Amino acid sequence: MAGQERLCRVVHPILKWGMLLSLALLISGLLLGMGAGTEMEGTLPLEEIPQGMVDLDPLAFVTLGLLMLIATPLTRVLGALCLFLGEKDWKFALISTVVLSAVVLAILLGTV
Amino acid sequence: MDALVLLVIALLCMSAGTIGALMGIGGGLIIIPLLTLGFGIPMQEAIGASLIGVIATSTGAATKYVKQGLTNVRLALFLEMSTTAGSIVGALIAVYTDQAVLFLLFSALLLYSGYTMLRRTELFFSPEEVKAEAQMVDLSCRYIDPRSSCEVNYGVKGLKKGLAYSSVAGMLSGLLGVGGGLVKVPVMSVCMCVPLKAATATSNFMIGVTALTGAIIFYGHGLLNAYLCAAVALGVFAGAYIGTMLMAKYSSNQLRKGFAILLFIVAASMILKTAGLWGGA
Repeated sequence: MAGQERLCRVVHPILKWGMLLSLALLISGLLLGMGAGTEMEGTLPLEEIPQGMVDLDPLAFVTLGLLMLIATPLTRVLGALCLFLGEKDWKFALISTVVLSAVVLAILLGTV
Repeated sequence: MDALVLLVIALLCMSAGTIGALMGIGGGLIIIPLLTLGFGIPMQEAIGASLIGVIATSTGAATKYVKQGLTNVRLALFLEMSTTAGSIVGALIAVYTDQAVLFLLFSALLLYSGYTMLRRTELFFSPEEVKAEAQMVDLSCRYIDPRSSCEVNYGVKGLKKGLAYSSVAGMLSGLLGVGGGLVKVPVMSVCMCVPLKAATATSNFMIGVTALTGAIIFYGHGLLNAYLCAAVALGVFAGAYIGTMLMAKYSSNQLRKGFAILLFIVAASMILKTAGLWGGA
């Protein structure tokens, strides 16, 4: 049984760093965008983000920031799953796997 | 979109973050009408931005609540199983259902939950008292109340009921696009005997996972407006931070009353909306 403190020690840093990273990216993207005065619409597709970051494209920064934000809740479920597996807490490992599978299924159903 | 408009949107979205962090809801109820009615932003873009706002409320508040022990991570995972599954079913059958009838049913459910929350006082059990249920899945947790500094050690009851009701909550949010937190908090508080502050924090934690599927789907279809989403996220983060500070100022009873009032307001606005009298909610 994974203790509450150990669970917190895994989940808390994921939340904190997820939030700080996305905040940093969003703010720098917005500032860059205001400086450049570029058209502020839409998002950048995943494959164009790396090149956009190199070119200091504000939209690349904002999009990556949003993706970081979206990924944070998913990462914390993954983090909890790893902890449960490590502590051989099979019941909760199974519960986390069911949650992850349901999320993946929902995304697949929605994007197809 | 103009930088000044984005700044105003961010400032106004702070209220959504604060209420979300205090009440365990996503804040879509505030963000969507604000963007569509207040700024004339198309519904689809507003929903996308609101999904991002929900994740920001969840993550922003959870950084504080997880550390305080208010978030019951295991309970959140346990119920996320059925809410996520329920929301898939809801989204799949949404095409075949009559929205007006659903809105009315949902309003009735909210009114009933509000009434129960007002009538009942907080009732919770120590982990020892719920041993039989804990043998199935142990969801006991403890936290230090930020207001009274008392340690609260509680066990969770009604696991099957909780799973069943939260699948209904998930289904409703898949069907109507609202109502995740509004149903989860009463389910945890009334059916599962979770202390209100823990129920709020746990609900807040859960909605991040529910919203992320929607957000990914919106991103995949290129439906997110990046700068609008960024403005909403920044405002909500700041608001959620304020909400976590306010949590220490209010007692569970005050929050319970506040939540019941919120349920009544939402139910009333939904009934008005169904009657075609108001365009919000």
